[in-house]
Amino acid sequence: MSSGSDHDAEMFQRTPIDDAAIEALCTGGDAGAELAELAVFTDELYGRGAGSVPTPSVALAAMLAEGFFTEKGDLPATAASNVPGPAPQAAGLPKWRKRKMIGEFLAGLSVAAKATFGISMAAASVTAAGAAGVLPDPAQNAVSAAVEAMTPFSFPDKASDKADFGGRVSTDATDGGVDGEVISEEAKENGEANRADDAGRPEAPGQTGLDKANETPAAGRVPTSVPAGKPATAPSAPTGTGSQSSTGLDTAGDTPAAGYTPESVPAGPPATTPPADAGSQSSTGTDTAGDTPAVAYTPESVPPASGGRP
Amino acid sequence: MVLWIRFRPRRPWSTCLHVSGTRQPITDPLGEQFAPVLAAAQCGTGWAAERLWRSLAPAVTGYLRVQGAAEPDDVTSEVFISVFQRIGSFSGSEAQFRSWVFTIAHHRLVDERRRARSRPQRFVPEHGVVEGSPAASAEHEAVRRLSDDAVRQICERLVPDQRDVVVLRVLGRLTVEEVAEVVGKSPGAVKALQRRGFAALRRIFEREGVPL
Repeated sequence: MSSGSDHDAEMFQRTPIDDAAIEALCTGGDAGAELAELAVFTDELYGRGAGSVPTPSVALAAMLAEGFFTEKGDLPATAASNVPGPAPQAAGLPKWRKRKMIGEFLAGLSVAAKATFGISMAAASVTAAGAAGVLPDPAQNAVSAAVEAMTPFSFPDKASDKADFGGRVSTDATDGGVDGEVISEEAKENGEANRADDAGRPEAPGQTGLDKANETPAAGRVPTSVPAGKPATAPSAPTGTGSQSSTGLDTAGDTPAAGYTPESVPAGPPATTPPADAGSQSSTGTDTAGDTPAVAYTPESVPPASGGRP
Repeated sequence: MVLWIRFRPRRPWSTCLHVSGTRQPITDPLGEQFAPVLAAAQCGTGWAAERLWRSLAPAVTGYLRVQGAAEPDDVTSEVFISVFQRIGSFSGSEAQFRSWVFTIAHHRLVDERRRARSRPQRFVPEHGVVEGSPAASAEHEAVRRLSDDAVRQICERLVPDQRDVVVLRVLGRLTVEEVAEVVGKSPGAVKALQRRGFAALRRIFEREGVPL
């Protein structure tokens, strides 16, 4: 360094270099006669960057010749829409640091703030559990009522949904938008739920189902009694051939609507008129009935057309 | 060998340099072609990368050589490999690209200085023959090296911070704000450094002779 000649340098009278002159020196402008040597030096310094192009290294030469992959990983032929976005941040703070931060946060709170914080956390937890529907029914109802009263949100009510199932089916049927498969699945689920609910409850003796029938929309047309004599078990095989040729009046008398059953069935033409020379095609059903699994119950004869079902 | 002779009748020291005062274009600026060339280089296209390399490599090599890098050509290649690997994340004008390249070059230089301080020094012939150099002739190369050495030894007399600022401003053609970003200082600090650096250079030229 030139520390030894600083005193000699102070002997020179010189004016300070102003910013304009420095800018001229840096950009190749006219800095004035006083700074001529300095301008020559800056010209030489500037010329150090005007040499020939250096020879690239092997790795760089390969990049220049064959292309390269940029940092984003986008291939030269990759569409812009396929360029992957930035990778998610790998990790946040370590667990011990998070625990320490929470501990420091809680330690810094006053007693009132701690109590408020605890109540808020408990309320948030209960609300979240209520929203998830995992609370017991009484608690669920209370939470739902409280949330619906204080907020514009509402929780789905499983019990009311189940009870309104028939009404919804009826409404859908009126609108013509019934999906039989969906209705069947929902009814099956409701039935299984009801069976599960009734599993531990003793059935009242003699209950015939009329009690439940009175809870349906058809309550006004439900008969008050059920005719006795019908076994609870599956009916046994008919003993006579006439049971198969029943006109329907016999079994209609066994239903709860027995009181409204007409005494007779009006006669009428058969649904279809068989051809005169039908031959085997004019079968009354007895021929093919013998091929069915119910061959043992096949009647010997078919009642006349006037006695058949209209 | 370069000798510094004091109290010798002064003469313009630039007469020792083969380059006259006529200023040459430092680079081949791309101008309006920069944007499409950059876009092609960001897709990994070789020809576009070569255009950028030819445009800025001489300046970067000169900067590293004046700053005393041991292998300026090799370091320049490393700088541009790093540039092309990260070029997908760059957006800006040609001047900003130039500033970005010099930033990477400066960081490489700082790393090399740090490594050089931590390992034992070994003798490196200052004027060794560089095989494969594209110099036109041995004489031209010798003269160029002499000029390089003269300029570099003058710059080495500056405080490192002053030297960084003066070289980046003059050779790199960077603005005060761009130099501030490269060296990690405020624009005010850069202005102060360049003022003191040029004052020190003027003192050197006024009281000392010229390098022989």
